[in-house]
Amino acid sequence: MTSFEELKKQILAAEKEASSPQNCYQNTARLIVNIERQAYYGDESENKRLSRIREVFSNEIKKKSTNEA
Amino acid sequence: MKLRKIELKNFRQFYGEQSLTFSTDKNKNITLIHAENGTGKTAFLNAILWCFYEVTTQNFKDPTSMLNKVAKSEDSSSSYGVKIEFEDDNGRIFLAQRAVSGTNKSFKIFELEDHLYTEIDNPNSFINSVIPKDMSKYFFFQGEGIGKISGAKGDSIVRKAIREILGFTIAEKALQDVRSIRKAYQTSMSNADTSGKVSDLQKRISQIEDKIFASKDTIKECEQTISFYEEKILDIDQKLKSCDSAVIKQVHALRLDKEQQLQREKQLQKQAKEEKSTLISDFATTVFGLRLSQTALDFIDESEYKGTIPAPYNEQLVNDILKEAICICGAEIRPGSEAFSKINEMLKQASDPMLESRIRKARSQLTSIQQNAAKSKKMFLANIQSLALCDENIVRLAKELEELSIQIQGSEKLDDIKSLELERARAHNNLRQEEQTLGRAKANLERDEKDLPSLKNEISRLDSFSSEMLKFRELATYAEKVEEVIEQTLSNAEKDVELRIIEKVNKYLKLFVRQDYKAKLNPTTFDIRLVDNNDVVVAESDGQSLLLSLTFISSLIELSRERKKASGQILTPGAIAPFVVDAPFGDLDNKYKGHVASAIPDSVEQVVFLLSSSHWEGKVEENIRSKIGREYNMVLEEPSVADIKEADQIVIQGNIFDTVRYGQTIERTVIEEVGDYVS
Repeated sequence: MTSFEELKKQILAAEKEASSPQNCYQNTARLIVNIERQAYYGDESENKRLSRIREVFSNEIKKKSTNEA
Repeated sequence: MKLRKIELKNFRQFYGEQSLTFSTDKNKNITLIHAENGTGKTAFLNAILWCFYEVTTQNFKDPTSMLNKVAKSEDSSSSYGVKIEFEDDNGRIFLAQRAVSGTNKSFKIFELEDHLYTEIDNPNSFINSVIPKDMSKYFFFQGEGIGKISGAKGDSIVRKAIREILGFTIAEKALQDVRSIRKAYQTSMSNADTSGKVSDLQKRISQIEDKIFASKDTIKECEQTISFYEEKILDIDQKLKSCDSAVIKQVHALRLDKEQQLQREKQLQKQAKEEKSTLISDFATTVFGLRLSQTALDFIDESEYKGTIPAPYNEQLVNDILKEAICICGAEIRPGSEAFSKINEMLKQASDPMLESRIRKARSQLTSIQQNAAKSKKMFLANIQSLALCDENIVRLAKELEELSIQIQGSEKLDDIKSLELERARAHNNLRQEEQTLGRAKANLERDEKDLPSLKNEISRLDSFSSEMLKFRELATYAEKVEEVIEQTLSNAEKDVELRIIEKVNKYLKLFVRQDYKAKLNPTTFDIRLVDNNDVVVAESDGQSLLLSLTFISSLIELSRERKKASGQILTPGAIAPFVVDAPFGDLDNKYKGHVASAIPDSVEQVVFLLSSSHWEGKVEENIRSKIGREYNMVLEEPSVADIKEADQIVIQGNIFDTVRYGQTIERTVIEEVGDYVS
């Protein structure tokens, strides 16, 4: 039978997995939303926002190509 | 977050420096500030909002004139500002300060550790990570302007509040940006296409996508409008049902019954039309092929009769006989003999197994067409009759309904009934139009969503992609996937939260409301209404509306607290924040006031009540006295003399406190401590 400690570890691991990005698209969405947050709450220029988002896409594609290679 | 201390300098009514320390005790978590009308409750609340976010509430007059009048008259370039000391959920202490001196503005946040102040980079991002600006108005709450959350004007308040507390604002902006960037990649891909094939296809794809978005927006708007009119009609029906005239009640009841019958007939008509489509797709070939199948069967039968189809003998049998050189009777058949050549001749007319099989299948299918034709004829006739009956009933019921409506409208002595009737007719008319628009939008959406994948497949099948085009295609595809993730997150979150919010609201209502009412949320319009135990919408009193609004706000705060640990990070995580509320109790009677006042400190970690005497005397004080950690009184100091005016005072725990002092040097509001019950 699974011990209490083991069960606790499994639940914590499941929670961590559930709260972490499940795939590259979710991760990218998270990065983009953070950029939006910085722009919306005033610490980042609105104009730079779009170019930063494009940069995220370019970097993710490069990363993907490197991994595939 | 917990507020620890606030300092106001020359901010609106607060001349000079005024400060106040909040109660951070777990049990005595209320800071109570007594403030009569005009002394500065709203200014105090706005000091917090302005300090953190440089925003103010809607009812805050002259938001550009923050500098105290007296300070301004002394020196027009006097500085003003607000400092707030607070702790985060981990107990770290920070100081936020916003100040204006002449034309210079500054906003800074420092962390206080071991008596040292360290400035935080990006103070705006920091404060928004503690309590996001778009959620702040629910925590720093202007109670006086709370208004109704139910009914026509309320539904957008509820929808907006839920979306803000979930952090939709940022995610939706991200979605818009990702969408526009994806389109830009697609345009770049088209521009890099020298053959023109991709750009043509891409243009068509973009047009269809735009149409899809437009259709979805139209559908959403129509659904909301339809729900609105349906609710309106329900309201009017309720009023007619409970009107004073017995005749009108009777006619209206009959009308409702006829309307239900009409709905049923329309449903049956719809089903019959769908059945017709199914019958056509299943049996149309049968019907059209009936005569041809009969002709073909006749041909097969005739040829069989004549012995030509199938042939009287089997090719395989003849070949076997020739090969074995032995007849079926056992006689020897030598090659070259007369018997051999005669048998060989038979091969010309022998039937091969494949041909036999084809003929068998053909006969079977033709027979099946014959049988199905008979069956389908019965079904088609029944369907035609059904449709005719529905059409007849619909016409009859529509006429009867019109007559009943005319009867009600003709009630000359009852102007209110007449106007209700006209309103009802208008609402029905608008509803019909919206339903037609909805139908068209849905049909367009269905068609466009069907066409889109095939166009996208066409592009992927093309092999004339340059490396430049491939690059942009990859970027566009990736962006599309990210768009789907954000859309899905938003859709799932909205569905989930409706249930949770209404559960919470009902949890509070069960404690507070006298009658056996509960709250119901319309998922299309986000309208929250009180219903009785027969699910009938209740005509809410002003007090009940306010109660509903307050329980809704408490539920939002609770939801936000629960979402604090949510870390999908596409939606903004929730916040644990103090509830600072200015004059919340308005139209509530004493008992409701007491209930709500007592429930609020139990559902949030820290509460700041800004109350005038009419709000807190009686049941409110009774219910919250034991939970007050610190108590203050705002006193208006006036240069004018009291003359014949009565003394403005309140009684707190048997002691008399001024709320206005006349004959003072300057006009200002001062904050005076009444009691510290935790230190």
